[in-house]
Amino acid sequence: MKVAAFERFTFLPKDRGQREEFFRVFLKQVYFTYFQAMPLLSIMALFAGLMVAAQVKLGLSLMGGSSKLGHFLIVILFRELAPFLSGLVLITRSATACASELATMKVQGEVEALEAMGIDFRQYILGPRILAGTVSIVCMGIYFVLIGLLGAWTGANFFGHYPFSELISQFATELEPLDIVFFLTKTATIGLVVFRLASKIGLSLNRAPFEVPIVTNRAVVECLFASLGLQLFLSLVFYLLIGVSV
Amino acid sequence: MNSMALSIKNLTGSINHHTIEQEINLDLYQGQVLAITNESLGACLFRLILGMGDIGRDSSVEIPHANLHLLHHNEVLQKWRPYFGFASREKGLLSNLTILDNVCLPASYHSAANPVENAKKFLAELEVDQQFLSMRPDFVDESIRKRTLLARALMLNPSVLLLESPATFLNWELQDILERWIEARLAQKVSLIFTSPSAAIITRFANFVLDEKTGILQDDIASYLKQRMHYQDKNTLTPQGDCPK
Repeated sequence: MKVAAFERFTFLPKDRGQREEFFRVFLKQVYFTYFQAMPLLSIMALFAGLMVAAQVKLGLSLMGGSSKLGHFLIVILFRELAPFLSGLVLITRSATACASELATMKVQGEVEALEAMGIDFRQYILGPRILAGTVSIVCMGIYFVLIGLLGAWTGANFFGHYPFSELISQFATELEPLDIVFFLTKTATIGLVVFRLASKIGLSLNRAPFEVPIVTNRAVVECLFASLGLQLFLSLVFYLLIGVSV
Repeated sequence: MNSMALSIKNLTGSINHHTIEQEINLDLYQGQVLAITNESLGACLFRLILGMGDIGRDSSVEIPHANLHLLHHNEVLQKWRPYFGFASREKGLLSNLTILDNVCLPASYHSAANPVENAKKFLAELEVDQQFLSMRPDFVDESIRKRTLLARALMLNPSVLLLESPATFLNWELQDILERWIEARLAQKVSLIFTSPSAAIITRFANFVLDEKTGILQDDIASYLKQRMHYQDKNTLTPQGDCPK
C-alpha cells in the first residue's frame, strides 16, 4: 500500500458524490471533536477564567488599580490559555482517536479497500478529518474564551461586586483586531498540524494490530511537542511584531 | 463476438514484499473466467492489476475496450479502478459504516445513479436479510460480511471481477447462492478472475486456470488440477501460501 502520495495536498473533493461524502465525514468528525468535547472544555475554561481573574484582581488590588482586568484576560486567557488548553483537549481526545482509528483502518484492510474502489483515501479519510480538526479547534477556542469570561467574572466577584457588563466592556475595549487574527491563526495552525500529524502517524503503521497502541502513543507525544512548539513560536512571532506591553 | 476485457503482458511486480517473478500473460474476454489455485499469487496479482504495487518495467496491463493502460498516476488510477470489482477474502469493510452504507459507498462516491436501490438489490440477490442492513460489520457473522464484500464489488458496474476465495465462509446452501450469483454475472458478460483452492468450484466455472509456475493460462483444467494434486501429494505442499493482506 502506497501512502507516499500522502504528502501531496489534494484533499479537496472534485465532484458531487465526493463532496457529499467529504461533508458527511467532516460533520461526523466535528461532532466527535467539538460537540463531544464541550463539557470537558466548559469545566476547564470556567476554572481557568476563575483562577486568572482571581489572581489578577488580587494582584491589581494590592497595587491599587483594577481597570486592567480586561487587558490581562486578553493577554493570558485569549492569547495563551484558550489556544493551549483547546489544543490539549484536541490532542488527548481527538488526535489519539484519529491516530488509532486510522491505524486500525489500515490493519483491517479498509484503506486498501478504499483504494481498490477508486476512492482517494486522502479525500475520503484525511481531508475531512484535518479540516474538521482545524474548524473544531477554532470553535473550541472561541467557546473556551466565552466560558472563561464567565469564570473570570465569578473570580472577580470574590473580591467585592464586579458587574459582568463592566468585565465585557473592558475586554471588548482592550481587544484589538490583531489579537483576533493571532488567535484564529494560532488555533487553526495547531488544529491543522495536530490532525495532520496524528493522521500521518496513524497511517504509518505497517500491518500488525499490536502496533495500534504504539502509534497512538507516538501520536500523542509528537502532537504535544508540535503543539507546544507552535504555541511558543507563534507567540514569539506575535510579541516580536507588536512588542510586549503589559 | 465478445470484446477483450483485460489484457496482461509480461506482468511481474511486487507488493508488500510479495513478488511475482514469473511473467504473467493473459487475454481475458468478456464473460470468461480465470481461476488461480494459489491464493497468495492471486492476491498479489489482483493488487498489481489494481495499481497498488510496483509493476515491472516491461509489464503492460490494459483494458482494451476502454483504451486504458495501467499507469501509476493518481488521476488515472481513479478512472482505472472502477472497471474492476474487487472482493477481498475477508477484510475491507469499513467498520464505522453499516452494511448498507458499505455497499453504497463506491457508488455514492463516484456519483453513480441509485446507490441505495442498487445496493439493496445486490444484497438481496445474495440473500442478505433486510434486518442486517443497518448493522455494522462487526456485529454480523462472516458469511454476511463475505456477501457484503461481493455485493459491493458490483456497485460500479465493473467489467472484470477480482474475487479472493469467493466461497470462503459460505456454507453449502450459501455456496449454491454464490454459484447462481456468478452465473448471473457471466450472463451479463462480466469477466471473472478468482482464487480458490477448491477444485469443484474451479472446474464448475473456470475457462482457464493460471499455471503458477509458468504464468501461462491452461485450458485443460482437469489435467492441470490432477497434475497439481499429484505434485502436492508428493511434496506435501498445500495450495495456499501466505496471503499478502
